[in-house]
Amino acid sequence: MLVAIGIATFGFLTFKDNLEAMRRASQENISWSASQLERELTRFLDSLGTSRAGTASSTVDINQRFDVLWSRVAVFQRGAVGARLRAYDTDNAVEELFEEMKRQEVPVVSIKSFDFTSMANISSAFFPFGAGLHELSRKIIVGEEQKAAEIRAQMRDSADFALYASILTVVMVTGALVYFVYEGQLYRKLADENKALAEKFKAASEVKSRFLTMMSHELRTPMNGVLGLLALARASELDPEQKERLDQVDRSANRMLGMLTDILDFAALENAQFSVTDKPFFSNELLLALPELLGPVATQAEARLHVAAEGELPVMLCGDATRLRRSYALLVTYFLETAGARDIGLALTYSNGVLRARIEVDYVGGGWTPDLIFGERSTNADSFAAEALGPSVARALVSKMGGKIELGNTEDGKILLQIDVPVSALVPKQLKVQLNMQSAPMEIVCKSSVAGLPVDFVSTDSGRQAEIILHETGAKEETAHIAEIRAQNPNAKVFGIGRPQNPELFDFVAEMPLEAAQLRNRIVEALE
Amino acid sequence: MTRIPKMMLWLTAVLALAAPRIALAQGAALTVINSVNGSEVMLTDEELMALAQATINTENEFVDGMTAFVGPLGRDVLALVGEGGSIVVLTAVNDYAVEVPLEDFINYDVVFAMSADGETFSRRDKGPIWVVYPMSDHTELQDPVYNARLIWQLVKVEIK
Repeated sequence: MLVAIGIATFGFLTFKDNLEAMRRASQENISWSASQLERELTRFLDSLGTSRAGTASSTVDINQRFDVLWSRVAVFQRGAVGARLRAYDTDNAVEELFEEMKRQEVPVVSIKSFDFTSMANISSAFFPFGAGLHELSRKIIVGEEQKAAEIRAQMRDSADFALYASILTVVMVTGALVYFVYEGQLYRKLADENKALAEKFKAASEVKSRFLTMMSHELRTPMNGVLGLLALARASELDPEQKERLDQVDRSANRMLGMLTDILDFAALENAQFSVTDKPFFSNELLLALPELLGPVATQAEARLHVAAEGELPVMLCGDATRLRRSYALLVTYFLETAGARDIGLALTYSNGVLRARIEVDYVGGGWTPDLIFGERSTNADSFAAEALGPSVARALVSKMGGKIELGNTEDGKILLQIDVPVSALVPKQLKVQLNMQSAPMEIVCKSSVAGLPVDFVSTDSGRQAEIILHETGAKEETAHIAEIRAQNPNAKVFGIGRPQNPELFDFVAEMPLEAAQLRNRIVEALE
Repeated sequence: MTRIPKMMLWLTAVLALAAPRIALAQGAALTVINSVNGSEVMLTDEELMALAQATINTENEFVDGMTAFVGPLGRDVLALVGEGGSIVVLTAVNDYAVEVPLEDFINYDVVFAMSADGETFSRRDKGPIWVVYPMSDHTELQDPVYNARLIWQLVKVEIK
């Protein structure tokens, strides 16, 4: 490319030279001016000669010829033409002629008719200049021809060079184009290969994920069997040493089961079809679930666990409650089981659409540092440890939910893990629920199953339309009765409580109190 | 490029021919002939200077730098002998002559210059009339073809 630019520059300069040569070629032909001077001298001498011979020439004619000759000499004294003419006059022939003209001016102007003596004298004075002017004319003609030949040669050379430069440029540009096409094809081929490799890798990764999912699922089944048999064995009469050993086995088995669950989650996260849900949930349910979930782990680790809300949380939030709970549980479990924490506080706050969980860990002793797991180095596959599986799953879950985890320290030196997840706050509506119960205890059971939910119990005689009717089944002529209820409450859903003979009459059936959780979930769905 | 309407040329010619002062001029500096319509006028220096004077600033190869040439426009002088013809023959005092297309005088402000930078031409210096083209204003005129038309010591103009 640089060579092409160099050729182009040189070509431009050559073109510029050509223009200059053309300009010089278009200059006035000074040979004509030189020959005119020589001719006018001859005509002036002729006028003197003819007057002297007594023919038609007059003194006026002589003076006129003298003036014309003067004007021809003047051409040598001015302008570009004059400069070029003077350059040839190395013998100063014109200058000497002009000096002689100035000397002879008075005699010429004052010449009288038939003053042949003066005419002869003037003629004699100017006659010698004829040869000099003739030589000057010859030199100018030859010189101008040589210059013209040089210009033509220069233009020819320039044209030849321009031709060769053009050919060379065309060849180079063609070569460059061929090279670029070749490179383009090469890169396209590499891109295709990369794409094929990526697809191959993706397929292999999906196979691996499926394998992990399947294996962890398959392993959990026998592990549950082991745990069940262990529970039976521990329930039997054992001496203290046997009991201690079985407790140890039980803890290890539970831990293995937890790891299998983590592997299942980890594989699921790599699955392209993994997606987070965005559903309403109650903030107090999340708060209550965490101690319930993590309490046994803390007890086993002989550590203290505090879960609380800092400030007031919105009653209802919209997000993936299951993944949130799982993320918090994985992180807290990690600190309890692996890092040996003695005191853990988990506080939830909500501000500007972000649910923040502050996990403060009072950690003492050991060579463990949280950077190993939560710092940048944990992304290195070479240092991936089995105990890092839980935090890795948690980090991936938080990331999938659009959140982030930051590691730091509290003012009093505790480890501080801050998990921010975008979650929107919802204003829950009051769900109107009508209870058609045949016994007071069943009414109490139903009410307790929806405790904490924004439910407004309406009576049949209040005149207000219910959205959900909980109807205890088992009464006579139930089909007609339900039809009557639906007619009175056309927009309400009717849930059967008990074991009805015709379950198809109801939108949902729950046997209480065994299926209280299912009933609560259906009520929550109705709230959504 | 200045163009003079034909009507103006005619009007100038009629007015000029109607003036006996020009037709009877003695000691003429310039003879203007139209061989097509047979008209002829002879103009003295004073009569030439009495015509509208134009000034063009231009360079050419016979002067040093930009020079202000003053004199009547060639087309005004030609209009004195009426319309007709397409070639103008310019003849110098030494009988040197060149043929110039009539369009030159219509397309360009060609001046029959009688002075340069305030100095009247003498016969010893291209006088009394030097035909000057506005070469600096029109690069196409910077050519040997037009250099040859810069005829000086002009004494006769003939339209054919």
